Amino acid sequence: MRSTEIDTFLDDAMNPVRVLKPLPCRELDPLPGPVSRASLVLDLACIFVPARTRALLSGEGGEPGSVEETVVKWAHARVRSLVGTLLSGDVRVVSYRPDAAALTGLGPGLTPTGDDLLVGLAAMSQRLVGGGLIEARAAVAFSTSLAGLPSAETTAAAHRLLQNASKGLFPSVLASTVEMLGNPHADPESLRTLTVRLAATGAHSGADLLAGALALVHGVIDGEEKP
Amino acid sequence: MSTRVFVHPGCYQDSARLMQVSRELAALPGVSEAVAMMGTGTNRRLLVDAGFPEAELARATPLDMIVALRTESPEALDAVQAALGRLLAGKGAIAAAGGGTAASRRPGTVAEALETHPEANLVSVAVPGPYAAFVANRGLDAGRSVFLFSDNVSLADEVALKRRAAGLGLLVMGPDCGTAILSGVGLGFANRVERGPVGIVGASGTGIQELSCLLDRRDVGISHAIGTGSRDLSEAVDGTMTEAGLALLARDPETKCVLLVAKHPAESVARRLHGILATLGKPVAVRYLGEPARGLVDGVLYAGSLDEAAEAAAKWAGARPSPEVAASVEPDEGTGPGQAIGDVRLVGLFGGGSLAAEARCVLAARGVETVVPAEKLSARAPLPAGNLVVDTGDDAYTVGRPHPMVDQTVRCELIRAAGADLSVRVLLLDLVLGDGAHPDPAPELVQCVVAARAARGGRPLAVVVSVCGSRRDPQGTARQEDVLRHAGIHVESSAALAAAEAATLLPLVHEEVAR
Repeated sequence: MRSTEIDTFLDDAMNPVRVLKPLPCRELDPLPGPVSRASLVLDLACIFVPARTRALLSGEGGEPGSVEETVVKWAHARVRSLVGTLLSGDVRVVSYRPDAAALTGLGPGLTPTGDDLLVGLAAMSQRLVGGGLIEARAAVAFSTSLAGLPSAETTAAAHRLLQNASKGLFPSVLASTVEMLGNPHADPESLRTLTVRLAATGAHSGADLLAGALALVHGVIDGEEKP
Repeated sequence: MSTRVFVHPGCYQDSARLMQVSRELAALPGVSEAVAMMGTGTNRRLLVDAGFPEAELARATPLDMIVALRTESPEALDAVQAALGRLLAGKGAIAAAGGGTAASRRPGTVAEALETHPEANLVSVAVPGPYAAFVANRGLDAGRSVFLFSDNVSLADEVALKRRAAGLGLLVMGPDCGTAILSGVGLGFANRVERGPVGIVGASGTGIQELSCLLDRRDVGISHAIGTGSRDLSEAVDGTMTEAGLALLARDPETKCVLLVAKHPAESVARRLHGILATLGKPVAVRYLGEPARGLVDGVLYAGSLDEAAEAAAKWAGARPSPEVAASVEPDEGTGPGQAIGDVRLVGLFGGGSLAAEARCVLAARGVETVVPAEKLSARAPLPAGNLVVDTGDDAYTVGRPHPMVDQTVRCELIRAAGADLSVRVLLLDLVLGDGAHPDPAPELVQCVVAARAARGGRPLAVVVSVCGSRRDPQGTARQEDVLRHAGIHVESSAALAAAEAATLLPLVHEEVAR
């Protein structure tokens, strides 16, 4: 099974040979060089950001009064709070737990939106630790908070994804995208292609994973910290 | 405004399907909001906050699908409920055609699949591990045997599934079952072999493939090859499906003799199975991979290699003896150099775990000690010391990547790394063909062997490859072998023969270096 297929594995159920490793995950490759805010700004200019990702980043989406609107608002608020905690360098696991617990199992999908956001955020935080833009111990505390999320609060597939993320293992298509963000050697066209591929993963999952990753990028660029 | 919540127990759906359900229901007349979500705690709380009835939501679990509806009138709810039923039963797009079209759709559940194909007598399950036991049980509910390709299924689930299947007189082949051939139909990774008199039960996918291909090379077909999953002969599972498979083959009139292949059986299980094998009523050969030959015990042949087991079955099926097999089974005395000597050593990089185990056993019998590296090999780090045998299909190498039988990228990197190490003088590889495997692996393998050799500054690198393929395999076994031979690669028909050849080459290379 190719790593671009995260949520589509069920479609392959009739062809067992293609379903070799559901939810293929891997570690991030080592950084080729330093990450700067300037390179992140340039990357944001060339990536593909689908409407759902934009909605989650802005907190505005769905029909007024709809469940979808509530999901987007809740998710946005919790992710912003997590980004602020990460950027403040807080190394206490308990500081991340309430927001992570509020996100797990939230929203549509076999891997619900909230879980995808957490995984995207974890991947990007690990990437930016390598670039010196996030305090390493803060990223570890955040990852540790994911490991402690109760399995009964979300779907089995999402719980597995969170457990992998807490160990530094991320869906390959997310890992490839995150590795390119802030990479001064990255080709803009390749980065765009990767974000298109990520966004095309599943119905929501790819866009939600991307939103988690980009929320932290926006936070770093804006110098956002928890009040 | 009316609200209503439907909870569909055990109806897990992927994101695309949930979105489709939401959209199509929302497009129906009188529906102001439709939400399809998994029944996680957070989603339940969210829906309660949004004004949906708490009592109905309370019984949902993360394994269930919730459909929450808000309609302009209570009457509209009834119409939506009917449409939802049709949509979940896979009867086509409801919004576009008002519930009328029958756009063909792939079944989403075991029940839907069996409704479409009631004649099917087997359910093949390949869903993520956490859901696999649930789906496999639906197959058993419907009275069908199950081919369980999924891995990451807990041991407790496996034991429960197999006990239930045994009680029902059905098979659960797996979990993590890579290969089976039932009445000529291959499941998972399987080679295209003729039907014939040999029945196989195997807790090893590549072990079954190697046996069926060795028999194919002797013009002997197989009746059925029943995979059991690699843990079946563990103490916990107690060989439940191996026993059931053997019983089926014993009753099958087309099966004239039986082969059993497994890795590392628990001693108590092997002892119990011996009693069954000895009274099976048909000739039986057993190959416990990695273990030495024990010869004939109570009429059961405990072979020293897959080749020996296949040869015994071929003989029982009336084929002439093969001198080649005798050579692989009977080691020359004292031929091997033991441990790696100075700057001469062997590296085996296998795609099939069972074939790696088989090669190690043959090498050991020929005096070549090998080690399985404790740490995962990296193409960027020096290779550890000693003669190495590595299963690149192990989980450590396949995280986030397909199996090397499908995608050779990782193995090719390691071949190049081994080539760059001048102490490596013999490279031992396997190539597994058949349905499900790489469509044309030999040219890719040759390319990286050529690159490995080019990096050695003229120092030779002997390469021996075993090809596991049948005459009818889609890749063309003969063509794959020709491609390898044209690149100066030594080709053998089994892992045991290839290992025997490598063991012969090693002292020759050593002598050459010494000179």
